[in-house]
Amino acid sequence: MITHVENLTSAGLVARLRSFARVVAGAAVLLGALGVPLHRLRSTEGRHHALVDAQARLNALSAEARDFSDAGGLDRLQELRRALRADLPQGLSRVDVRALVTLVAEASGFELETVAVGRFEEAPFPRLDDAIARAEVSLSGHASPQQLADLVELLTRLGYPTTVLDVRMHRSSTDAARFEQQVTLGLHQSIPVPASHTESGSGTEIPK
Amino acid sequence: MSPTPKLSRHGVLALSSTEVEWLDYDAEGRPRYASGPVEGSAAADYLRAALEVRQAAGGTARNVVLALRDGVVHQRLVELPELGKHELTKVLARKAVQACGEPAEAPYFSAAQQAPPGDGKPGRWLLAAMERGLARELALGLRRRGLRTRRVTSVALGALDRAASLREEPGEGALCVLVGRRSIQISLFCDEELLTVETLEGDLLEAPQLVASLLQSIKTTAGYWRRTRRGTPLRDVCVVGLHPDRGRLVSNAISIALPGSRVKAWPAPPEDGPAPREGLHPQLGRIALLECALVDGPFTPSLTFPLPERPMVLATAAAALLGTASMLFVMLSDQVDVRVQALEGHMERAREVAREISHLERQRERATAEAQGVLAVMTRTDAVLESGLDFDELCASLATALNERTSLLGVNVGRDLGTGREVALHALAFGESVEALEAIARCQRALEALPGFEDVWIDLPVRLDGGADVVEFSVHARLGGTS
Repeated sequence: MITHVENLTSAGLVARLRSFARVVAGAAVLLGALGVPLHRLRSTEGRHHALVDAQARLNALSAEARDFSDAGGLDRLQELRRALRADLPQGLSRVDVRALVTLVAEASGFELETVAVGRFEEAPFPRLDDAIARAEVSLSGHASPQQLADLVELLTRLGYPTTVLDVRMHRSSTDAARFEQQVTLGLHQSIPVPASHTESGSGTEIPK
Repeated sequence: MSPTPKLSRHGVLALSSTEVEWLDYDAEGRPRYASGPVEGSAAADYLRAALEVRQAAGGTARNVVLALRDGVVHQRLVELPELGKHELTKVLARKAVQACGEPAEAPYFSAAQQAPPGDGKPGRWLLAAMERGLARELALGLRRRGLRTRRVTSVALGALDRAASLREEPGEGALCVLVGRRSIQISLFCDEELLTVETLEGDLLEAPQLVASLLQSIKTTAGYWRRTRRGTPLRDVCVVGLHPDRGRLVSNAISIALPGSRVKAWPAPPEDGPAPREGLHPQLGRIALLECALVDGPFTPSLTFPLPERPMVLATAAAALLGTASMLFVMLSDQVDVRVQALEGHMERAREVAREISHLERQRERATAEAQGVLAVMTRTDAVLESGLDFDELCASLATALNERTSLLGVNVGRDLGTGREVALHALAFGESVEALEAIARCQRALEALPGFEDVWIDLPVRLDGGADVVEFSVHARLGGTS
């Protein structure tokens, strides 16, 4: 086989660049002709897909809103919140508390000897739209443990959240049905957040 | 060897440094030949002369074979050692520059290997080179005048292929005597290998004494062949380019000078009797020589080079491309428009959907905030109610801890100071000392087992009355911190 060497077809750099530029230009024209409409279609389809997704989200949100509305909606929530806040008494004075405890003790069989009501002071609970104030009520008298429990239960059920802070009870013999009791109760009420206090605080005296 | 079919209807434009010749054939196959001088060495001079001789010959062929002759194409037999391809190309390019006389622009060249290097001998290459600028401008000029250059080749090397086709023993050495206008070229070849080339300057028709020199050269070449081939005689000799009349005479002279040789002339003289002059073209020798440019063979170099596309072709291609692209664009755009319009119809609702989503999301945020408020109130209320002592649970725990042998006298539950509440229980245990102690221990264990009771310990009297059946005791514990 005869070996041939020639330089007839070897093009120079400029000619190569020119040929390359022609090919690139041709390809660009064809790509442009195809690419521009396809890009437009793709862009529109993209927006359409986004719309489909948005529609699905709207449907889900609508269903959620419908369920929420069926359950009472925002009004129901606000009503619930108001009702919950109304569970706490407001505007109680020491005289009110004394009268209340005396009445309920009698109803529950607690034989009172003395009642002392302290001032309402803000208790360390989170402040919301309002704050929680607590008054300490010191009782002494005769009652069974159950009657003390009934007293606390009755106060709470009447809408005056009451807790036992400390208790001392004693009887002279095991035959005695009643104990001599000295109890400190905590009775809570809702108070407005003082204007000078924005965050949690304690020891606020209620001017009553 | 007849002309290559695809080239047989082409015109041949032969160019030398002094002369231009044209050859083509009419519809009946009659040759149309003319020649003329070249006034100058520029491409425009060649072009002008070419058009004139074509017109003079009455040529009509538009596809042209450029048959280059002495002064325009340069042939060399060069010997080169074994080289890599890149290096070989560079060396051959340098040789081509030398052959063309150091032109301004690197010349076109084509080289065919005649003998590979080996056994300490260099390889031999047949190099044909031509000036790049001249060839390109000539081809472009012809194209501008409607003549397409289909092939570029060398007349002299084409004649070698013609001679090779006439020899009777292809495997043996042969001699080609190419008689030109101004020189005679004597080439010795074997198979496809060109061995030697010798040129005698002068016109054989005008200086008949050249025959003596020619015969001497042929004898010398034949002697060289015998020496290199251990006495094998050179038998085939072909004389190309002479009119049959002259060809017969020169052939006879060579036969006498080289006894035993087979001498053939191309074009071949008539078989019988003296050559009839009537009916033969007066330039039949030149015509036969130019026909050599139409044949293909191992010696014929292809010097055909690509030309830049014609502006019209480029414009047409660009127009076709743009037309196609426009058509595609329009077709595709139409289809896309239909689809886009269908989609856009749906998308009119997009803004409304976004507005509704935004409204619903705001509503949900408000509801979430409200629900969190409710939860906070509930959590705080729970905390309030659980902040004190769970008295019911304390009573239940004490009832569990006290057993049938113990009875409660009193309970003290202190305040929760953050570490729990102190609980003190006063009770009586009934029974003998051992039984009472056992009852007290049971009470302790029961309290320890209850959740929330820690650090439970018993306070007993220092001395127990062995005869008494009641023991008073105290139980102290710490209730886990509440709030």
